[in-house]
Formats: sequence, structure tokens, C-alpha cells
Amino acid sequence: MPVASISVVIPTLNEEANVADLVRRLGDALGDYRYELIFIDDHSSDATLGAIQQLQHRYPIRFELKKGKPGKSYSLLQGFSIAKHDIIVMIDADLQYPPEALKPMVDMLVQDEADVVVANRSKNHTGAVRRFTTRTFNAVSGALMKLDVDVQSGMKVFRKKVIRHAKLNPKSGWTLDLELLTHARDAGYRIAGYDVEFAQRTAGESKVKWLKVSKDVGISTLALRFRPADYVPLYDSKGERVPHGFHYRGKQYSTYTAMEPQNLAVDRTTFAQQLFLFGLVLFAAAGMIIDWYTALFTIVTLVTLVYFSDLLLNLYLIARSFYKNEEIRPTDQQVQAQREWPRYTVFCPLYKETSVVPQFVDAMSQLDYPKDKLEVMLLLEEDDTDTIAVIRSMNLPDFFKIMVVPHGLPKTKPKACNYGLAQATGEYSVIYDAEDIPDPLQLKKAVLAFEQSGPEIGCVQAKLNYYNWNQNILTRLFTLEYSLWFNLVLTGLQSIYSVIPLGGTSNHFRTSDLRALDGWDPFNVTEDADLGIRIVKRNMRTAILDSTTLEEANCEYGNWLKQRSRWIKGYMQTYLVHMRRPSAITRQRHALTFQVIMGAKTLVLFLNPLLWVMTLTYFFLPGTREFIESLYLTPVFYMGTVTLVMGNFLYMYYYMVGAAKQNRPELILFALLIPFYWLMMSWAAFMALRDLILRPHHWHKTKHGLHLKQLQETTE
Amino acid sequence: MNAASAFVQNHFRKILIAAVGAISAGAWLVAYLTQTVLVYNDSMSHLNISRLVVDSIQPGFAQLGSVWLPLNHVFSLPFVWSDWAWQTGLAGSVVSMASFIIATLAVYGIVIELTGKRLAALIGAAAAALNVNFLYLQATPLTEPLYVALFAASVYFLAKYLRSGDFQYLLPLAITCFMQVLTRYDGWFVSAAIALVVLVYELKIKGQKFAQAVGHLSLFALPVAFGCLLWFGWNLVIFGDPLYFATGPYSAHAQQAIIEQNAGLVAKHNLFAAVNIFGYTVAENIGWLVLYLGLSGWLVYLYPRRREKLHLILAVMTVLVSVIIFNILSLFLGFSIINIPQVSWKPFGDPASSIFNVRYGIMALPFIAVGVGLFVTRWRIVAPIALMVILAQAAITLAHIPITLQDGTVGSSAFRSHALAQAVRDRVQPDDKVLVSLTAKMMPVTFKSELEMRQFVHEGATDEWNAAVADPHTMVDWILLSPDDGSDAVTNELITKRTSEFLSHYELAYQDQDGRLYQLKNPVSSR
Repeated sequence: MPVASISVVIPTLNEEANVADLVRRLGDALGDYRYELIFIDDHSSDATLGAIQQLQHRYPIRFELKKGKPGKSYSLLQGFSIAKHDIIVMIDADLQYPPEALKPMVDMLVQDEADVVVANRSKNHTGAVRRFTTRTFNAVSGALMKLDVDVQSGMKVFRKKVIRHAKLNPKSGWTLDLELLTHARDAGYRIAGYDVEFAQRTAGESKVKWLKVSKDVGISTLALRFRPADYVPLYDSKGERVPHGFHYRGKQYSTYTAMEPQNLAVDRTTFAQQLFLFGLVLFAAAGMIIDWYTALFTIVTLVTLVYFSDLLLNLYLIARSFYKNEEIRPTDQQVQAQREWPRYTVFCPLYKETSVVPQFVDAMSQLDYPKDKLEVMLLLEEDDTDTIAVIRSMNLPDFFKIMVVPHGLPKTKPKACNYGLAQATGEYSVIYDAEDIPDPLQLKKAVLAFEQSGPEIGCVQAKLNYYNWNQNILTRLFTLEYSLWFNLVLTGLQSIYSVIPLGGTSNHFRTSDLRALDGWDPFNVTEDADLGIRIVKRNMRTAILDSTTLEEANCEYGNWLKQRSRWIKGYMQTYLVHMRRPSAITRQRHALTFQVIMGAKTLVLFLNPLLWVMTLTYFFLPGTREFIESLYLTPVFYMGTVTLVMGNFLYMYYYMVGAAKQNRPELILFALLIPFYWLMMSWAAFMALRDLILRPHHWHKTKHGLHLKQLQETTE
Repeated sequence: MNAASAFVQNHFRKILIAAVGAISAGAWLVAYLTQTVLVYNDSMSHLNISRLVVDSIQPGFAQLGSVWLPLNHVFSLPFVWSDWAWQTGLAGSVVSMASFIIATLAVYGIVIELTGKRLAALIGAAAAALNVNFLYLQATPLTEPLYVALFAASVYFLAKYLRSGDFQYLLPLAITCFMQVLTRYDGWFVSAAIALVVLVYELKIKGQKFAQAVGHLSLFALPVAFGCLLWFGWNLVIFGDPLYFATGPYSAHAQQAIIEQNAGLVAKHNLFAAVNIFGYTVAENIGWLVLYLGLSGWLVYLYPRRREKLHLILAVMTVLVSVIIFNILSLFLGFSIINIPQVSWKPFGDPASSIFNVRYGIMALPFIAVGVGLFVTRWRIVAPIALMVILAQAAITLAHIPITLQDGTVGSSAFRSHALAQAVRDRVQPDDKVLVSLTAKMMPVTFKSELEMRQFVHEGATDEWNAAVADPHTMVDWILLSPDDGSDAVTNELITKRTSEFLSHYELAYQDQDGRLYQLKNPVSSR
């Protein structure tokens, strides 16, 4: 066992009767270690100072008079700041805590069982009031702060690195403990307890004024509970900052992006957003209580206006997609030209999906692009040993590069892509999912698209569709959805230079642009959508390329629901992240489309079921008609009727047109089943909301290769 | 190329639109100055239906529709707010005039699609734009010009689709047919014909699989079917019966039943008579010279060579002819009636009744006008001759008064109840209320009375109507009715069933052969 070096910080105020005994017992307890005793005296009026000085020739004692504000917390901070050793002990001088317990506590650190050890006052020999107060506080702080140790304990042992980069700023003389522990927990340090007996004070007087201390500690607890948690930078053993990583709420994350943690989707909402949402709910609830009819009337009017506007906007976008189609279409002549092609990096993040790897290798080999200019990065996760083994055993062509992303949180596709981006050598980059089969000419077309466009084009998005479109009803409906999105809506959005949430795969970039954008948000489960927004925030835009990547449509309902709920959760994350500073987006000319595409389109998934219920009620329960009609102003009623009748038909029809444009006329009639698909989308939206609240970073892994399984079964 | 021709070349479409627009505006001005914009009963009724949406005792969209399909009225809405545009008829004429321009351009476009010859297309367009009957109709609020425009436009998009095979043309085709089925019932038949053409084309010419062909067909057919469903739904919601438009008391079926009972329907179940009547109607609308020219155009274009795109020509011809077939079938089945002097059938013994609904013949105009264009395609040299024929026909028609104008001035379609309307105008005060059943006969009287429509308590305002019919003296100062009209609900309710009770509160203020106006005896005490 290595010999530990310990700095013991002892705040004192009028403890002349206890100092000698304390020092002696500390010396006995820590005799096996290298240690120093640091006394910080808060200007005692008795002979504490003299007592300490008398001991200085026998013990390694350092002594300082308190500077600054009075109070134990500040004394401790002063002591910490001059501590020389790697392990710090803080202990009260009143001898209520047994110094003998320090040895086992220090040993817990030395044996790497914890980073902070707190002396839990398990046997408390003080008065009933103090016992009650201590237990109550521990119960409250345990519930609020999720700390199951004796927070206010006056004896703690911790590594110096725990406080090295901490900004401890106690608001009163008694509130350092909670702040210290909260910080330690957020920074990912392990906190353990060690049971001790808490004795009665035998000499000197207690400085604790219960009422004031209780008030200070209570306020401090609440403030710490509701303040935003700190993003604690990572430091290596030498104290050097580790780039692209941080601790947050006790977990360590590696992001491989230079984006500030505050701009990532680590947290769902900021405190201001929570206040806003709470205020909104409160406002609505108050409205319902004070005058429910007017409140309902207002809500119905607003909702109808949102839907009607969406109807008009979609009509406009679809119409524009026909007469203002700005898809980039390089000519065959340009694509086939003999010329020097730039180096291209393909990112393919893979996680537990070995079944589709041969198909992907084949698809990459089919790319009509000089292979010596191609770099296909297979981004594998360190813990996915099966996939790593399978891929290593394959005889991959030279242009494939196996990259193993170090194990750590968050374990997401965007993090893997960031890892790859750092080492990409291509002038251009693209992401493909493992089950993708891109148009073989896509890379050349993308290069030409960038060359033909100005620097304002930050991304070229190829269109996506499915190769297993006719596997079952679900894949048909899914194909209809994609056909509409990529053939009509996206082209319409592009024509008005709108915000475009990117589509997961087949997004092509200049690698330099991607680096300037700091890659992807590794916490966002639709990192593509987020990147699309960040592109427009940088005054760039996304262009649509006339080239299609075929993917595998989800053919299982459960799998589909999980995938869709992840997408919707990601849209919500993206919306909330970019609304942290609404002014940053409202200043943009894309503010409206951002609100519609990222906000309203998600909101309606939650509202749709309510409106369906209201519509069914209206038609099947005639007794409710008069009441429902009374909730609408006449013009609003007309808008609602048009939206209900024409809107629903038009939306269904758009899917049909999308299918025709995708040259899948066989699917057109299936659009009549789209209302059931909308129902599923709303179900997925509620799942997404649950996930956003309960497990915001959880990535529902979509199973791929199900079509191959079915193909195999059919063949057999 | 000199500067003038370069200008024409560069701005050809705009010049064409401007020229057709100028013809349209000129024709309207003539009609306005000769006070013939609103001679048809139906013209005034169409305007009033629009007007009721904004000016009624119970305003709102529920005022639209019963027998007549609503699109024409919807298009008039932005203009009918204005009292002046309503009373001059311009609110409806604007829609017809825009339709006239679209129809002419569509004929031009169809000929271009079939032949690629601009000169031929221009001559075809001239045959449409210089048709005097069409020029008159486009100055009125009647629905025929709108229908002809939508019909011709749909044929144009069909031709584009058939020529290119590009599904994108199915969308405007579907939109124009969606509008057709909400304009006239002819559109329902024509749309079915187009659907058949699309299906055959997909299967036989494009060689698509059945599922693919049905898919493309759905792209066209579903919006059209949706249009029909909207109409059924509307009838269900407003009248409680999805087939109210077909079976209700004001339906064509009900009208025909009355005529059949009184005088018989000469074309019903008599195909020869039906063809004969509609043939003469077409000839009178188009003019014999242009009719022959157009028919010859189709014959010489089809005969004798085998054409590369024969399917295109035959498909376009089929659809253009389908509307003619529909009208003949309607006559044959007794769903509609046309009286034309050449057939010398006077169902009510009245010379005026020998002209009725002759404007339906204008439906054949796109077919004939395209035929005229095709004629010129075959021999360019005949272009000036064709133009002279068109102009000569226009002159002849003008000299004999166009048949559509005759119908509106002396035929059965003419408004004659001037005295009754005058009586209402003179007696009813601005704050008074009048109970009236808005029948085909009374609707124009309310229009001509120049009163605000909100002064009339009618069937469209259900609550007020029910209350007024139950206890008229508590609700209305005046009652306007037509005692001889079996469809007049006020007559049926008050005169037929409750005469003495009714007469205890009201006294006859005016009567003539067209109707009666009753006045509340003691307005102050009883209300």
C-alpha cells in the first residue's frame, strides 16, 4: 500500500481546551502517514492560538489566522487552499468526531474505494434536538440532492483533486459541506460513508446557532437543488485538462466535439425553460379554473389557427416543390467526366449489426468513385466485441478503415461520427448507415453539387428511400412517408431556404465545414436534425441532391415505434436546445420555419388524438355538437372545417403524389391507410415524451437486417 | 426578324391573354350597355345564392348549394360583397369572363398539344373566342362559361399527360375535374370518361401493371371522387339527405316531373329526339358554318393517314365528345330538358316555351373549336379562309340575335316578373321582413326587388323560417308567394293548409300572374 500524504484542515474558534487533545489523538491516528495539521483560527478570543503554538515543535502544524468573512466554511476553504498533500481531511476541533476513525477513512481512499469519505454520525450522543435536526436534514438532502451520507458531518476525507477545479462559493459559514459534496458528485467522484460515534462536547462551547444554521443550510440546499448542474471538465492524472470531455451530474462523458457542453442536449431544459413551461401550465390551469369556457375557447382558436396555417404552408411547399424544384442534378456528362476526384471519407457507425455488414461492404465497393480516393471508416464501439471480431475476420478492401471508439458515455452514433471526423482525411465526408445502399454515383454527384454551389451550401442531402418497400403494410406506409418527405416537402423547404432537419444518413459535407460546425451533438438522438439547424445558424443552407440512398424500412411495429419515438424525442431535444437562446434563432430569417418544422410539427402529434376524439364526439354524440360549435368563432369554425375536410384529404393526397414522384404507383392506394400511420405516430410521440423525461439520452437501437432474415426464411 | 415580331414572339402568351381579355371585356360592355347581363332568371339566382352567404338573415356558407353545385357561387363570393357588383351582375360576370379567357387558352393549348402548330391553335382559339353565344354567356353570371373553361382545361392537361406520360399532369387534371364536379353534373360524366381514358392509356399504351395503372388512376380519380363526396356530405349536413340535390323538391328531377306531368318530355326515352334536339342546340350555339368546319377538321385530321399519336387524338376526341353524350343521355333519360324552335315543340302552348336551356349547346364549343384548329393543321393555306368563316359566322349570329340571348329575353329562361319585383320594391320598407320561399321563380324576384337579402326570411335560415311559417304575423311584415307554383313552400304551408288563419293577419297588397304580395294587417299591435 502506498504511503498517503495527508493535509488535515482544522477550523478553530475558541477551542483552547480541545486543541491539545485533538492534536495528540490526530497524531496517533495518522502516525503511519505523512501528514500536516493546518489550523485556521477564526480570531479566537481565548488562548487557542497559544495552545496551538505550544504544539508546533512536536507536531507538523501550520497555522493561519482567518482572512476574510467569519465562519467555518471560509476557514475550511482557506485551509484547503494551502494544503500541500493529495489527501485532505477536514475535522472539527471540538472532539465530537473521533480522530481515530480517520485511519480507516483514509484507507478507503488509499485502497481506491472512494474519492470522498464522510463520517456518518451513526451513534449520536448529543441532545435530542440536535439529533432530530441532523436526521431531518440528512433525510431532506438525501431526497433532494440524492446524497446518502451525513452531509453536514464535520469530518470528511477526500482527494485534493476533488476541489482542485471546483468553484466553491458557500453562501454562509455552514454551507460548504453540501456544496462540496454536490460538486464532488457532479464531477463523478465516488462518495462513501463511514460510521462513527458522535460524542457530546466535553469542553468549550458550541458555536452552532440552530435557527440560523438551519435557515442557511435549508436555503443553500434549495439553491443547489435548482441551480443548473456544473459541467466539470475532465483532468488526467497529471492535472491536464482532457479535451472534449466533462463530468455532469456524476457521469463522465466523452464527446469528441469542441462544442460547449451548454450547447449540447445533455440537459433537456434550462432552468429558464422550466420556469417558462411551468408558467405556461400554470397560466392554462389558472385560466381553466377562473373561466374554463373562455380558456377552452382560446385554446381551440389557437389550435385551429395553427392547423390551418400548417395546411396553407404545406400546400404552398408542395406547390413550390413542383414549379420551383431546386434539386441539384448534375448531368451524366459531368458525372462520367475523366477528372481528378477529391478524397472522400465515408463514416459508417456500427453497433451490434453484423448481419448487414456484407451488404454494406458490397454497397461501398459498388460506389463509382476512385477507390484510392475513398476512405470508408467503420466506426465500432469498444464494447461491441462481436462486431469487432466479425469485421476483423472479414477480408475488407483496402479503402476500409476500422476505427474502435473508446468505451464511454454517451454511446451514440454522433459520438462515433465525431471520433471519426477527428481522423478523417477526406476533403468531403458523408455518413451512411450500415444497411444503406447508396446510388453508386452519389459521391461524384455530391462533389459536383458542391463545386457548382457557393460556400453557402453547408450540406448536400441525398434522398432516402427503401429497398424493402413492399415487404409489408408498414414498410409500404413508411415508404410513402419518405417519398413525401424527400420528394415534395424537403424540396419545397429548400426552395424557401428553410431550416432543413437532415435525414440521418447520406448527408454530404465539406469536411472543413463539418469541423467548423464542431461535428455532431453526441447527446442528441436526432443529431442530424440538430446539425441541420446549426447549419442555417451559420448562414449556410442544405441543398437536396437528385440521388437516392436505399435503406431498410422498419418492418416490425414494435421496432418502428421505438425508432419513431427516438426521432420524435430527438426533434423535441433539438427544439429545446435551440430555444435555450430564442433570440439566436428568432433573429434568423428561418425563425418561422424552425418553429413550424421543429415545433409545430411535433406539437400536432400530441394534439391530433385530442382533435380526433373531438371530431368523433361531434359526429357520433349529437348532443355535444352545440357545445363544440360554441367553442368556435364563425371564421375559426370555417377554418377548422376546411382543415378537417380538405386538410385531411390533402395530406393523404400528398402521400400519393410523393409515391408517384418516387415512381412507386403501386403504393398510391395505400395512402388511404395513412390515418392509421398518423395514429401510430402519435403513440410514438407519447413514448418519446416519456423517454425525454425519464431517459433523455437513451438511444433506442433500431434493429437492422430484418428484411434479410425474412428473405432467408422465404428462401428456406 | 424585326422588332415588332420579336416582341410578339417574346410576349406571345401575354399578348394572347390580353387580346382574349379585351374581347371578353368588350362583350361584357356591350351586354351591360344593352342591359342584357341579367336577363336570365338563373343569372339572378346564381348571384343571390352567393350574396346570401354574406347578406342573409342567417349568413354563412350553409347558404350555398341545394340543387346547383356551388363552385360558381364560391368564386363569386369575393365580388358579391359589393352591392354594385351584385346588382349589376359583375360579381358573377367576372368569374365567367375569367373562364372565357381560360377556355380560349385551353383550346389553344389542346391544339398545340395535338399538332404543335401555333397558327392552327390560334385559329382554334379564335373559333372559341369569337363565338357570339359564348361571348354573351361570358358576360353573364351563368355557370356554363365556368364549366366550359374547366372542361377545356382538363382536356388540355389530359392531352399533356397523354403526350408526355408524366404523372405530374394528372394533378392539374385532377384539380380541374375536382372543380368540374363541383360546377355542373356534366363534370361527373366527363370525369368518368377521363378516368376510363387514363386507365386504358396506362394499361395499353404505357404497358403498366394493373396495380401501377390503378395507382396512377387513383391520383386522378380520388380528388374527383372526393369532390363528389363533398357534395353528398354537404347535402347530408345541410339538408339531412346526401341525395337531396337529386331528389329534393327543387331538383332537376322534380322540375322535369312537373313538366312531364303537364306536357310530357319529348326526348325522354326517344334517342332520335334527344340527338336531334341537342344537335340543333349545338348548331345554334356554334353556328352552322363553324360547326361544319370543326367537324370537317376532325375528319380530315383523322383520315386517311395513320398517325403516330392516334391514341392521343382519339382520347382527346372521346373526352371532348363525352360532354355532348352526357347532354344527349340526360335528355334521353328525362333528367334535363331543352326546347329549341327547330324542333317546334311548345310544351306549354306558349311560343316563349319553344326556347329553353339552349345554352347547354355551348358545351360542344371546345370540341368544334379544336376541330377548326385541326382543319387548319392539315392545310395551312386555309387559315385565312377559316378565320373568315369564323367572322362570317359571328356576323350571321349577331344579325339573327344569338340563341342564348333569345332564351334569356323571350325564351322560357327569361325573367318576366318585373311588375311583381317592382311591387315589392315599392312597398317593402328597409326595416321590414318578407317571408318567401326562394324557388326558381321567386329568387329572381327578390333580386330584382333590390332589397337587402337579409330582409327575406327563407328556407335557408332554418330557425327563423320555421318560426315564421308557424306564426308569420309575429315575424314578418310581408309574405311573397307564387300560388301556382307547386314547389313554393309558403304557398303550400299558408295558402293551401291555413288560408283562413293566414288571412286573418294578412291582406293582399298586390297580385299578378307571377305572384302575390301580402301585407301584415296591423304591424304595430301584432308585432
